[in-house]
Amino acid sequence: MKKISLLLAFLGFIGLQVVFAQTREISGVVSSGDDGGTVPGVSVVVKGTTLGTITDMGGKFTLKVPNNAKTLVFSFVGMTSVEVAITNSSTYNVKLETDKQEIQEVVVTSGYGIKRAPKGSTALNQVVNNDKLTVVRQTNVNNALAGKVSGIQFQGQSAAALGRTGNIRLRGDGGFSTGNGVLYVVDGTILPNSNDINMDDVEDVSVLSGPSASAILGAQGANGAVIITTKKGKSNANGKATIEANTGVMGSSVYVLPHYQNDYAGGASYDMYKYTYKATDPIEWKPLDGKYYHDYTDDSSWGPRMAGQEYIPWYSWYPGSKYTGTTAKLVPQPNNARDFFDKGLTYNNSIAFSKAGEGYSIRISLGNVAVKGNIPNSTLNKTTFGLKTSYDITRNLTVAANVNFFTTQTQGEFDDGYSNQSTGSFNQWFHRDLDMNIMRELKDLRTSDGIWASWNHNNPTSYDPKNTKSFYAGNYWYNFYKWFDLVNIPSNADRLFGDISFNYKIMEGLSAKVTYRRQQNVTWSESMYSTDLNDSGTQTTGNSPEAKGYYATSTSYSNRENLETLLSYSKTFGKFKVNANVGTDFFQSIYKQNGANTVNGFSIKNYYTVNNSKDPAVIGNGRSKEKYKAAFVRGDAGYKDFVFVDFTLRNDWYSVLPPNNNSILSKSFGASFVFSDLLKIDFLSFGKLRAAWGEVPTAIGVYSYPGFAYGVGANQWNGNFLMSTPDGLVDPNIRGAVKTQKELGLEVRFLKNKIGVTATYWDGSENDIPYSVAISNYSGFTSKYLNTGLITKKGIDLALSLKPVSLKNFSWDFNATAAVLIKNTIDRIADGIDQFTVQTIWSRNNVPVMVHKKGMEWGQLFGAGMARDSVSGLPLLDTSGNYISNPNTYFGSVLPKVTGGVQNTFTIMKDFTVAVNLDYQFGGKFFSLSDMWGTYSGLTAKTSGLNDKGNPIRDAVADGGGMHVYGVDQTTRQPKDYYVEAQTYWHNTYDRQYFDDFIHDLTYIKLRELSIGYKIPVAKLGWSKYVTGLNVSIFAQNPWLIYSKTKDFDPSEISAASGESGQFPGIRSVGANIKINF
Amino acid sequence: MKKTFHIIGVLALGIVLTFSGCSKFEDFGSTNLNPGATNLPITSALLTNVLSGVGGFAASNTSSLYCQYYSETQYPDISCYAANSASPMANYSGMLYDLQNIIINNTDDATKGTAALNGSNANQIAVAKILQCYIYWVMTDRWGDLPYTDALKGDPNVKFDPQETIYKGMIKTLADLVPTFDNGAALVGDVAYNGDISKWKKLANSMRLLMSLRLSKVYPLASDYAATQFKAALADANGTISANADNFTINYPGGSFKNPYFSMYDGRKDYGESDVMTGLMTNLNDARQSVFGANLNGGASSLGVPYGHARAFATDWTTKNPNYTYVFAPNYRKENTPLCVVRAASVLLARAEAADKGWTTETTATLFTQGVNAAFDQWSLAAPASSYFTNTSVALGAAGSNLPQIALQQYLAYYPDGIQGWSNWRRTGYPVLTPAVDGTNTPKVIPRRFMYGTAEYSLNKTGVDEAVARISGGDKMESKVWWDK
Repeated sequence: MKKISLLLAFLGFIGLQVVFAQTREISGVVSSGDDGGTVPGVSVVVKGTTLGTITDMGGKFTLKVPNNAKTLVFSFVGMTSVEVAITNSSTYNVKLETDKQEIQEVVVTSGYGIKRAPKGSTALNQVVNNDKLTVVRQTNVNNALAGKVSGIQFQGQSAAALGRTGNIRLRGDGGFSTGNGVLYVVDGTILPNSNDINMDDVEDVSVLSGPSASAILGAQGANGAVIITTKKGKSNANGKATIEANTGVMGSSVYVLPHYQNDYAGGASYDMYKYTYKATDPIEWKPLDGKYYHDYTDDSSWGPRMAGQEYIPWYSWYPGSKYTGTTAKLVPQPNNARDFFDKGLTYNNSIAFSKAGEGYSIRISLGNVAVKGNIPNSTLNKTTFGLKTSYDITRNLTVAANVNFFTTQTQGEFDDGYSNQSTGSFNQWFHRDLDMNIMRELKDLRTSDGIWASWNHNNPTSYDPKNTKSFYAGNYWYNFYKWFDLVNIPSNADRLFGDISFNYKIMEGLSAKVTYRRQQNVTWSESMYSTDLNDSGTQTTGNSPEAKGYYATSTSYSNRENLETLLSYSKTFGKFKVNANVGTDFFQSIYKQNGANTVNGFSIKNYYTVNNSKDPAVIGNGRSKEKYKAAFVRGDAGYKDFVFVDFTLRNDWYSVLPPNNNSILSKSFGASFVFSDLLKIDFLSFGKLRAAWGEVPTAIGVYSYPGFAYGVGANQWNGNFLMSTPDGLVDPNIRGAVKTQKELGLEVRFLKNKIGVTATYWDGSENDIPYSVAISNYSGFTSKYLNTGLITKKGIDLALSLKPVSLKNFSWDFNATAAVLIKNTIDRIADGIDQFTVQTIWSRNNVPVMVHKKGMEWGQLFGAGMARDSVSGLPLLDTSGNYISNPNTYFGSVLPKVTGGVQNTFTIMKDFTVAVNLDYQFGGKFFSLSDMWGTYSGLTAKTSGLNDKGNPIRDAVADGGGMHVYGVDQTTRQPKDYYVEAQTYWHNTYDRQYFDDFIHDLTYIKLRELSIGYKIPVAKLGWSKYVTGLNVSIFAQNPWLIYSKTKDFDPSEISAASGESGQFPGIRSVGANIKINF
Repeated sequence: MKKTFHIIGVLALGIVLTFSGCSKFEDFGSTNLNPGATNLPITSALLTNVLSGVGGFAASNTSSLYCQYYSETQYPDISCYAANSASPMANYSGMLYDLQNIIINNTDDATKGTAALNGSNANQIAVAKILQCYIYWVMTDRWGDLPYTDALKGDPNVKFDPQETIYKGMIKTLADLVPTFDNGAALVGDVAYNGDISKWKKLANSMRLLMSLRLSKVYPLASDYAATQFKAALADANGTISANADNFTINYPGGSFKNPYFSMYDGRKDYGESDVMTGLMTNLNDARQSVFGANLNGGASSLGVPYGHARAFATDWTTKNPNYTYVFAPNYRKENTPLCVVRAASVLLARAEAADKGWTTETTATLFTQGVNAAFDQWSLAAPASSYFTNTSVALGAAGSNLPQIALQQYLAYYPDGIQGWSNWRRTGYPVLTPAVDGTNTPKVIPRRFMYGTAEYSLNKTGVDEAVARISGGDKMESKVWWDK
């Protein structure tokens, strides 16, 4: 109650009446000289006084001026200020031109739509405007931000996985899991990921890097936030409606794939087998009598050398094709994996209608992104609808509404885990001799028993006329194309979000706003796997039980609502300018989910319902509800526009926390000092020092407290139901972590803003992290959920902007960002626990895992590697030349040390724009399971080639082949060397456990975006009557991985935090786009 | 007009006050009550849950590969003795604590009334203890020293007990619990013995008897601890398992709960019956081979997969010999095939061995024949013809010299329960087994224990270090557990 009294007192204070001198009213509209659109937020001040106002949504202003007022000053960030003499007229329509000298600074948006001029900001607030975001028209904000904001690491995902958006890390990482995500906020509404944002609607993106910038968002914003503001309605110069249409098309193809060996064919045996026809064999095999084949059964490539010799390919054994009973030449197929993937195609179309005028603005947009993916039978179709409108009911009361609707349909299997049906074969278990074009040609080849032909069928010795499946069916694998025909995974998501708000201007400088906000998502998805898979495979269902025939369905409903109030106060007291906000936010989230799947195949073949399950179906549902209530107050004050201070206080009460201790307080304080205003040095255009501190406690997951809940098993044992005791204990005092960050920043610009540098040193910690600490199960439990641990980190975020060339017909804009992660250390985990595993790519044989270890950086790779002599550093060897395993070998950190990007924009002859955007990272490691199995299977390039004797490593050691192994003897410590058979050597890495060869580096430099745009001079061409703007561009995404230490993967898109288990290939795209404005 | 909008403004503020005034900020009522879970355990459901998993121990691939019942057909690593650091820990938080929870709920005054709805408190506690003993037994036989006395009490940094303590503790627990059964309400959720208390008592006595015999290397004499306990178990009025009808068997219903051997070939064919095993069977012309193995199509086969070869050999061999023997004929690994965990044959053959050792005064030959016959009967096979017993590796000789013959029959009776087969081989040395030709361990010997898992070292280092200090040879697969000397 105390807090409420304070609130009331505050309201009373700002409610004081202000008395004016004798005045008259003037009004007008401010528009942009560039595109004619009206400009909201322009400051209109009577010169020499503090009297002033700001233009509204439609660029309109009304101002009471004293009768003796002489001049009006119109100013807006990034535009040249204009002074207009006050005459007898009561209307002043003014055009503002973009300030070419001024660096393009956009207003920073933080929580609850509160905007702030960057001049006074005390923390690093980076804003990326629409121009920069849409150099290449991206369909996802994460891709669009890569490299353009300092302190960001974008962990991308292969574009082959449609709808997957990757992850953003801001200033290193935290928590005791595999990483914290950032918060996405669109016009004040929180979205769970970056998927449902129409990039053509985005005006700008403010990135709040840490607690000192995002304290107003409370617990949810503790990891930083990406604040997206969408475009408002505006009219063109003539006050008419504007239409913007955007149409693009983009083709994509596979870019980065591992390097394979192209010398040896499939199978486990180097020797080919001779086929001898038997009377019980199919008659069509007779021509093959006496011919040779390589082992088909084993899905590795330790087979015969491919030397163009005659052999029986896999497909010759199946009746019914033109190849039946024929032989072929065994020749390398270097591009077979690449050939498998389809060419992708993306259509991206949108249109927006916009108008603003006296007391209203409206913008309606429609968009559609249709993608045909690189994985066969994969598509994505997303249709978006957006409405943003506001309307002045009276001069003081404005009602505004945002409505966004996204409906997304995807189709396809996007499994990029171990042993998946594309890369999981090509990079892990495969025959290097397969001709993918014949594979595609024969995808419908089938035996009379209905078995689909497979390249991985069994060897003819296993042919049994009574059981043809034992020969014809795939041993582990199908024809890849057939698999994707027989698997059908559609899904749908309908997301609706937006808000309706009433803003009441109580008096000059004081307004109250009430907002109701809603974000709901309804999804369904189905998985259908044909029973044909079971009929056509022998061991295939061991890799994927779904291959027995499978149907799963699930639906979900989530609904998040906020009711927010916000009082905004803004006033100038002499040399002081004060802005203050008081607000409340009441939130409720409801989630419901139902799902069911068949088990162990179907009763009736290929009949996709839950009831058709052979064994009792698994049925489950989930539901949850959570709430928070928050009240906050923030304020900033500026003295003479060069010294600024600000603060934020926010208190949250969370339903998910223990009821007696569910209140958490977030706070931030900051100050900044624009010293250039004092120094007045010629070459220094701008100079500012700033410092900020913020502390944000977080909440915990729903129902984590009080925990220890028993569930009931889905199935009964002859009428007896099953229950197991929960394994996790929960501390009754559990609460969220506390994240603290302070930062010091310097911003300077020289030579009329031609050179700009922003440097921010930040230092933060995360304390009392709620974590389910693993305890030894001997206690009867596996974990205890408690507050423990400390992570400290610090780093430097840098940004540099240059204008190296600025000629009439050629200019070059250069922007670069760099973030140096100085440290990101796990200082403490818990009593008695110095290390634990957070991510496991493969759970056997001590394959490297990601751990958090006390005293080391966040996210370290440890696992089995070669044991080394402590003196010489050489590997230890046993007497057969095998390395000795050290199960606890350190392999490095998963976090890169330096990340950033470079953006170049060249403007040629005014109308041509060439943009070249790179991003990079240095440091960091990942483990590749694909490389591990691909090497075990003899697929990767390193399993072939010559040894130091000049002989093929796959030749027998006795014949001068083998891998040269050197090290020191494990007992005598004397130097030794041996030659070991290649297959043994590469099997030993797994069997004897040393994985050093499969640790790769995350370092890369990548040309991510390339675009050439042409602004067709519609005025010169006399087309102005029809169009106001016409832009044509051709572009490329991921055109060039300029540098990477690993040659086998694109390190910018590794699928998991610590590595990959069956990674999709990197994808390169080129496209063209036309933008028309009416 | 203006007034109206002032009112709206005030209304807006009113909303702030309504929310803050009507409900306290910190009060969320029942919002945080999870509607999808309960805080009360049902003891019968815990029991069924344990019984649904306990059969898994009798179908342990690793142990069955060590004692050469199986061979690996395509990815030989365990049978080539790759370092295996599986941890026993999951069994503690899983089945062992579920059983402990049954004991707690039947002991605690606050809950024992509710728990008694699922059978008398005493009977539930006794059954839970028997099952705990079984689980500790199979675990300590693999790892040796383990937390026992202080385990399951919520303390994660628990000390490891020497195996001797565990064995004596289990034997005492079994001895003590048999008299505690009462004639109260039958157990609910008992999918093994369907609430038949007399069979649980026989199981307890049989386990005590078998555990005692396992200590024969450390206590060889008739006057020693092992013989004493063996005789006491045998003498108990409630009896031991002597007929297959009393076997501790998990009767899988199929569907959601399948016999683990069904899953062995449900999509994969990683294992085959080993050539070691088929060799023994062929030598004896043993009728059980029709049960123990068959080829891919279910036809009779004695073509065992060569044991302990590296991958290149194994894949090449299976390619050339697609008719090799799979573990179990198809009819014996259906999803609802019962799985025997403690069997009459092993008790009878144990009694034969004890008699041969002079621990008891029973007749070796009679028990031996009964044991072999029970082993056949377990698979619904007729007792072998008398010629079977004249085979040189079966025929008994002078009293006290019959361990090779008895141990061979024990080995065959346990098939394919590798936990028992491997332990019995380690104890007796029979049948004589040759280490894998392509073994990757140094020295190339058959593993004699499991190494502790990496989780032990990170979560309870003091405890595991103490235990390791007691193992001569260290935490290695080649080191021996206490009773293995």
